[in-house]
Formats: sequence, C-alpha cells, structure tokens
Amino acid sequence: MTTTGTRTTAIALHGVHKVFGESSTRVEALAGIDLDVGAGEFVAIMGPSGSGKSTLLHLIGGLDVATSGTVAVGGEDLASLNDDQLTMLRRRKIGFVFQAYNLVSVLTAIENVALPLIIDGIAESRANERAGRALDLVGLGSRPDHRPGEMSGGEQQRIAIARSLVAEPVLLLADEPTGNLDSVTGDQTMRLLRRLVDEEGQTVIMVTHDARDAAMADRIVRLRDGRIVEEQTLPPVKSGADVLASLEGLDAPEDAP
Amino acid sequence: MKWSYSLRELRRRPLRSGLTLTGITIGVAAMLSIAITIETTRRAYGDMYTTLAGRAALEVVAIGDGGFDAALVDQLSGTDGVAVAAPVVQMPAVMIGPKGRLVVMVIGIDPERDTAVRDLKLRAGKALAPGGAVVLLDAAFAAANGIGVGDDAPVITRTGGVRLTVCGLMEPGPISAFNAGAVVVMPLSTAKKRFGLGDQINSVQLVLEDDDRANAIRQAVQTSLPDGLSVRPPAARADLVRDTLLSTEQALQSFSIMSLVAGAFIILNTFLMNLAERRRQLALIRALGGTGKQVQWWLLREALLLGLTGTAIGIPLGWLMSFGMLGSMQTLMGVKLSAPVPGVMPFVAAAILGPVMALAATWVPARRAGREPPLNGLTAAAGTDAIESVRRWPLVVGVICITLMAGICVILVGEHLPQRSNEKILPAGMALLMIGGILVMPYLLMPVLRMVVWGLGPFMGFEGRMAARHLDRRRVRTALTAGVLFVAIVISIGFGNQIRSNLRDMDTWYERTFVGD
Repeated sequence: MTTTGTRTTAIALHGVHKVFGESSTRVEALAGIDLDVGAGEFVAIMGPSGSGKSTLLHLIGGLDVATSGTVAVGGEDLASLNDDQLTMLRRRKIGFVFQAYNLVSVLTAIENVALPLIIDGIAESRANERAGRALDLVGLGSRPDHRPGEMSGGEQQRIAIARSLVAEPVLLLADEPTGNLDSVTGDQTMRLLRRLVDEEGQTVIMVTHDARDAAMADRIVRLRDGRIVEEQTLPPVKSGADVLASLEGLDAPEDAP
Repeated sequence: MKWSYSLRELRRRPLRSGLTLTGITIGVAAMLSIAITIETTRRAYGDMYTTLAGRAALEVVAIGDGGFDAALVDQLSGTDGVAVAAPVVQMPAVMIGPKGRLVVMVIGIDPERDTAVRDLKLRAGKALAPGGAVVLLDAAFAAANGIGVGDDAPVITRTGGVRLTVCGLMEPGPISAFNAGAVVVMPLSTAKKRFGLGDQINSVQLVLEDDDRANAIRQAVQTSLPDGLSVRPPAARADLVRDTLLSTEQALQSFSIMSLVAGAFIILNTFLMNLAERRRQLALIRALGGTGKQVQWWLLREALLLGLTGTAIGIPLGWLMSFGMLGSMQTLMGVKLSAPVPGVMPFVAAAILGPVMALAATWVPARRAGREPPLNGLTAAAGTDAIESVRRWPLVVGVICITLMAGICVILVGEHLPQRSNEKILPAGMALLMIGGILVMPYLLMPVLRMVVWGLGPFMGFEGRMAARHLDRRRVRTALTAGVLFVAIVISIGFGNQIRSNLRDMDTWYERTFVGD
C-alpha cells in the first residue's frame, strides 16, 4: 500500500484495459484507466451508459479481471490472484452495495447482514453479534427479525449497506445505491454513506447517474468511452444544497433514464 | 451455511419442492415394494416346498417342473441309503364350496408310503384310504369355508368336474401349511385316475436312512436318473418356480428402475428451474465471498434434505405398497403368500437410494452453479433471454448408453447368456435406454419441435409461435420434461407387454403342471 499526500492508497489502477468479445464483436470497455483512491476517500464515478463505469467497479471488486494493466486493492495486485484468492479478497476486503439490494428473501435482516460472516465460517453467535452492531450503525437495530419483503426499499438498502460493512472491509463498492429509491430515502442512504466515510473512515467507490448523490463524494471521476475525461475534487461536504451550489456547471447525467 | 437456510429455500417453493419430493418418494417406494414382493414370493415358494416335503431330505423332480413316469418310484426305493420314496402329484384346481369357488392346490399322496414323509394328524373324520374318492382338508380352511366331514367336495380341473367326499379334517401340519391351507389332499391313485394323469407324477420325495449322507446319496440318485430329471433338496424346487416368475420379476425390476430414472429426471428438471430462478442469489453468495464449492454444497444439501425426506416417506409407503403387490402376485400365481417378511437389505438399499438419487440428479447442475462466475448472475437479467446452450457430452453419453442397450438386446435375443444373467442385465439395460433417450432428447426434440411448428404453422397463431420459441430457448428443461413423458410412455408400453408375457408364462406353467393333460 502506498501513500499519496496525506492518505494511504487503498485502490490503485494503472493502464487498465478491458476488452469484451473478439474481432467484429470486440468492444473496448476500458481503454487505459489510471486511478488512485485513498483510504477513507469517497469517490463517485459518473458517465453515460456504456462509458465503462460498471466494468470499472467490477474490476476493482474482483468480479472480473482486466485484459491488461494492474488493479491493486489494499496493495494486492488482483491479476496475481487465482479464483479462490479473489473470493477471499471479496470476502474480507470488499463490501458490495447493489442497486437492487440483492438481499436473500428467505433470510431475516440480521441473517442477511451476518451472511458474509457465516460464509467465512464465523460462529453464528459471534456473527449475529457483529451483524447486530452493523444494523445499529444503519439505524435498523430494532428490526433484526424482519424479512426483506416486510421492509421498504430504503430499509432494504440500509440492510444491504450493513451487510457490506459487517466484515469490516477495506473498500465499499456501491453500484447505483439509490437507483431504486425515492428521493427522500435516496438522500438518507447517501447521508449514511457519507457518515461512514466521515466517522468510520470507510473507503467508498460509488457508481451513480445522480449528480445529487455524486455531490456527496470527495471526488468525482467522469468516464466516457472507457477513459477518464474529468476528475473533480469537491470541497468538504457541508450540506447537500451547498454542494449542489458549488457544483454549478456540472453536467446533468447524460444517460439518466 | 446453516441447514435451516436450505430448509427455508425449500419451503419458499412448496409446490416445486413437493414435486421433487414426490419423485424421490415414488422411486424409493417402488424400489422397496418390488424388492419386498420378489423376496417374499421367492421365500414363500421355498417355504411351501420345504413344508410339503416333511421329513424328506431330497426330492426328484422334472426340470421345468413337469411330470414323469411313476415307475421310477420303485427304482428309487431300491437306491442305497433311501429309506422311503414317496410319489406326489400336485395340481392347481378350483373347488366349489358352500361359499363359492376356491382356488386350491390338489396334493396326491400314497397313504401308506407317505406316513414316513409326514404326519397327517386328524382333528375329525378318517384317514385317506388308498383308491377312495375321498379327500382331506385343512381343518381351519374347511371351517372358514363352511365345509365339514362327509360333505361333497366338487373339484374342477381342465378335464372336467370330479365329485369327491371330505373324509377327514387335518390339524395344522406339513401339508396343510402348504398354500396357506388351501389344499385338497387325496390318494395318489385317485388323483391320477380322476384327473386323467395316466401314470405320471410330479415328484418323488426321498426320506433317507441317514440325512448326513444326503450329498452322497444325491449324487448316486442323480446318476441313475433319466435325462430331464434332477434330484435336489426340497427348498431348491422353488428355483424351478423362479423361472416361471422370471418375466414377472423382470417386469417389476424394470418398473422399479424406470421409476428411479423418472424420479431422478423430475428432480433434475425442478432443480434446473430452481437454479434459473436463483441465479442472482447464488451469484450474490459468490460476490460476498462464497467459494464455488460452498455454493455447490449449499445446493447439494437442499437435494440431500429432499432425498432424506423422500426416503422417510417412501420407505413406509413402499412397505404398504408391498401388501398390494403381494396380493396381485397371489392372484397371478394362484398361491397363498404370507405377509411380507423382508430382510434388512431392501430397507438399507432404499435408505441409501433416496439421498443418492437426489444427489446424483443435482450433482451436475450444482457443480455448474458453483463454477459460474458471479458477474454472470449479478448483471441485470444476464442470460435470461439467451438461448440455453446444449453441451456435447450428454449427446456422447446418451449415444453410448443407447449403444450399450442395443448390445444388451442382441445378447438377450440371441440367448447368449443363461436366463438368470438375462434377468439381471435387462433392468440395467432399461435404465441405460431411459438415460440415453433423455440425454439425446435435446438434439432430437428441437428439430421435431420446429417441424411441428412448421407443419402447424397456420394454426399456431402468435401465441403458439411464442410458446414454441420459449420451449426452444429453454432446451434442456424442455428436453427433460419431454424425457419424463418418454419414460412414462416406455413404462406403459413395456409394462403392458410384460403383463402379456407373464400371462403366456402362466399358461406354460399350467401346461407343465397339469401332467398328462
């Protein structure tokens, strides 16, 4: 792990290319990405559809492998890891938050949150204890036994966030975390992510179409055609309105539905 | 991962889980009930002939259970080591009692010689007199059917009706236990005369001077017998009947195997549906750090739970079914069979079979699910509309199975193996045909489906074409569904043919048993 400025580098991507298909179906999703993300930093990745945002997130999360270049998470080059090692990396160093929550419907809130720990072989009592603390952190400590179907979209996303945090990962990857939420619950979710960064020192990389959500980050990275076309460091967040005011001129999302 | 998670997954889709469970239950129950039926039938025949033999250590019978000349009795009586040679005639017949028709076994004995073979203790009436038109009945059988000493006992054979008189009622003993009491004992000469048997008998029972010399005497007797006759311990005579039961047993065993194969494919089919629906969930487990093996084991554990539950239901169900099957067997063979008294092995086999069948059917899809990259399942609607790819290995394995079955058919038709070996390989061949047929089904089904769509084109309508494309898109599942139908059709045709074959066998058996008819 390297240090850049005052932050330790949590993620480092250098000359990353990702190509899908061959010959006539060949698509270059990422065309030479260089990006460093410091520990405790909140980075928003924006860009139109097909710009390579999700591909970038998948590479960082060890869900896919780069065609060339290096992707390092916590100083570990993912290209050097086999499938089992990548699985262990995802288990212990990375937390995922998805647009569609992806909770297991037959499990209760606390069981969903404890799932990564159970998968890791941690004893159920210990896993539940840690899951309970994660639920407290997202404000759902009073509803451990509710199933996903009995909760609102915002609550389900908070459970998903608790699940992503329970293993105390180096990095939290969020893919359109407010995409399925109304503006009020979306704002609550973003404030929760912001709080995690400010109070817990959590590193967060978030893909979003929403400028309001992006405004909650420390830095915005804009992609187009698989390349980084703009990086913008934002001033420390005071309030959502202040941030929006300071982002005058930031393009509206080009691929917003 | 906790077992309760697996249980909850199964409860989430109760109908689908129920269908899978039914497949396992039927497979286990069919296998167990058939094993019990076959074992009980064989044992019953062994017991019957042992009971009938009384103190006889050996008996001479015709190969194929047919008749032979009674003159042989005197020759056997003079053999060194043979104390008494008692001739016996045995024929199935129908007796008309006060309460209606009764299927009975007529046993003709020589009253003088037979006392050395068995003790016929009388509860009422008189003993048999040589040449008399009289019969002895089991006391309990007679009481149950309202027959007493002095009553007429009309007996119908293929040669017509014979009016006989009940001269005595026997206490439970060697003969009365034969055929569960449904026996009519008469003098040998009467049986031969009234039944038009000429001088033919079924067997000669040998009481030895020293049973310890049975092997040596058996060898000596065998060398003196004309071709077509053999000497053996009485219980071994059941083996002769086994030949008669052969096609019935083959039919039952084939049915058992086909039930298992059908059950396995039902499990596979519902499991594939399950996996398609849970693709995202399984990908999530992988994304959260679950290994491929963990995912595979999670799925196999669900199958194991179903396998154990299906077995727990299938074993008592199979036990109950065996009573019904034994009843049918009793009707088919015209003999009384006792309640099933199976050994431990059928139960052990059934207990292992259910879980193994469930695990075997889910092994391949579970392994595939474990190997799938998490991204495939996580990306929205990934692959849900893509045409399901059909792999090459099922075609190869399927063709191999069908080729093996063809080889087995050649062996069976050419009678290259002993009949007993045929009995063993036929069910295995049926299983190969089933498995092979279903594995090649995806390759045959789609061209056939397209031809049907083409042929019915104008009548299909938009919905029909949509339905056909949907079936085309889910090729494996469509093929499995068609495969289960294929098994059902094969069972129906195969079982129907077997029943016809059994009836032919029964005719043959009657032909052999009604000596001199």
